[in-house]
Amino acid sequence: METVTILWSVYAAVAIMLAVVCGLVWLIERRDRATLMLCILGIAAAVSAYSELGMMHAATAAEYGEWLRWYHIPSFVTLVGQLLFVHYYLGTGRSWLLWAVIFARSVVLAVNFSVHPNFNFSNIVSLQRVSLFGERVSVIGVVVPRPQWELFALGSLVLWLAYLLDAAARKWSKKGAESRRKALVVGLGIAVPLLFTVLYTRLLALRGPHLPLSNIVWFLGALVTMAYELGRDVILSRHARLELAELRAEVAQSERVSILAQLAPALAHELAQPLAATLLNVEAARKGLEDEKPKRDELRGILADIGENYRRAAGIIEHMRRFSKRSTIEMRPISVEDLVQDVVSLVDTEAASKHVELLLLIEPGLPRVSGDPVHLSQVLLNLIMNAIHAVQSHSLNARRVVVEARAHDAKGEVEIAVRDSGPGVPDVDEVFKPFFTTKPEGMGLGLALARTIVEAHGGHLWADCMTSENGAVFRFTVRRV
Amino acid sequence: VSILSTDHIAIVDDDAAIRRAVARLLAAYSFDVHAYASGREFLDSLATRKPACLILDLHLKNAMSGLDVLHHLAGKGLGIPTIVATAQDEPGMRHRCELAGAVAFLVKPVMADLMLETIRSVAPNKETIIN
Repeated sequence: METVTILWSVYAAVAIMLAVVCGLVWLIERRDRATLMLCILGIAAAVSAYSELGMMHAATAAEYGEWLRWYHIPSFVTLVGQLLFVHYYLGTGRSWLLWAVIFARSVVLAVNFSVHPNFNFSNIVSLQRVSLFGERVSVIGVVVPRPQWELFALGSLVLWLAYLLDAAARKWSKKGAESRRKALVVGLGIAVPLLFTVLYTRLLALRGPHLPLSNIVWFLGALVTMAYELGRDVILSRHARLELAELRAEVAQSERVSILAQLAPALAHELAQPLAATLLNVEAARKGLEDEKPKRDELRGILADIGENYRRAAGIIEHMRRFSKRSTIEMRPISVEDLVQDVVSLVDTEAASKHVELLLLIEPGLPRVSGDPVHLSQVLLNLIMNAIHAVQSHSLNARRVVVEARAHDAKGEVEIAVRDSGPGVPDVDEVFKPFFTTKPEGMGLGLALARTIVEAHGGHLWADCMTSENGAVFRFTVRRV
Repeated sequence: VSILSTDHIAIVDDDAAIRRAVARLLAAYSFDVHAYASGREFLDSLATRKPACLILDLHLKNAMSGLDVLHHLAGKGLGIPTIVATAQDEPGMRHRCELAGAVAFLVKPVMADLMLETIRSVAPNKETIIN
């Protein structure tokens, strides 16, 4: 294969690769239209490279004319795509200028396909063969141009440039170093390659150097600039996301520690039980050993109970340790039933001491969900603690909290609901706002934080059925594995 | 070895591990023990037998709490000396239990010596206790 063919093919491959990467990024983040534009521009650049090769390898003037005619499609897409990129990325351009450019370039495209052989020439009489990087390629020889249309095309490019420079200038005038940097990089990065190309094309039109028609400098220059900008944004937003995740982990941990502090009396009770049993068992064993014939079975039973009580206490400590550890969200498949049971084991003593009946309605055979057990425990614990607090205004036998879990097969989710028999919540949106609280000791971050945790899991947390008769229901969803 | 010849000690605790441990300890000291998982179960048993002493947990995970049991007993006027043994040492709880008729208030985990000593000091016929 010859050098020119290799060079243009590599260029096309790079452009396609960029298009694929940007396309994938856009599929993840559909709102990011600048990335979609970059994907389209990559495809257009690859098609341009293919057309340019077609022109260079054209054997006849008619074939060259045909390639040039089709070359206008990727050129149109590129010009409009670049402006839309600027429109979405800088967000500062004037709409009427944008539409004027799109209209003018549409006229160029329409004229191109309504005349023969193409927009640029009324006749291509002959081609010339020149050597480029050691390869023989075709360039225009004797041609009859269309000066009035060329002027129109040039005018559209001036409009194009005006839009770009105006958008960059407006961005520049906004405060902040980042705005200025963007204005400069995008403005220069796209305008300078275009100016070079216009200059180069003019020289060719003036029958200057015998070189092939190519927009590679412009396309590639602009593509690199735009890709650099987007890549930079991706990296910066990744940094921001990581910082946010760290911050959330910190706030979430302090909220968990505060929940543990509220649960401290109940947890102390839970720990005291196995310790108490152990103390009594040890004394029973000691006394038993004083017998002339110690009852071996009895002693064995005592030892088994001591072991069991140790495991029970260690389990509570491990649970508290895990729950108070600082950690960012790490997703893994978890069982909803285990999650609910774990949380209930932390909170059931608290519920009992406040005379709250805690009921579980867990659909059998629930699918596993994708989530972080510590963070999801925090969400559920927060909802249950709120529910326990909410029913305190009722008489002892009317304090009920129900935890329900069921699968939504169609949505691929599992829904967990905490329903209480309390007075309900007056405003379903207000309760999720940070610093909203009805508890004198509360910070009011619990529900706001719970919502961010659930959303970080790709689920939703909301409240419904707020009537004074039925109490409150808080529901959240988690995606199944 | 003979103790409280006809009487027994009752224990009410919803925690099976505690019930077993108290029963074992008291049995090792030759007490006759009856254990109940709920206050209702214990109150029902009173129709057929009356303990010399009751060891009562306050924190019962069902409708009737230890305090409720105390109130019921007070209502019946059976005069069963009741030792409250709880891990729930909330402010004012000791006073409330004493008002409701408890003769002793122990905070779990309770040392075995203290529990035995308390039982001996509150159970009637304590002079008959040999151990």
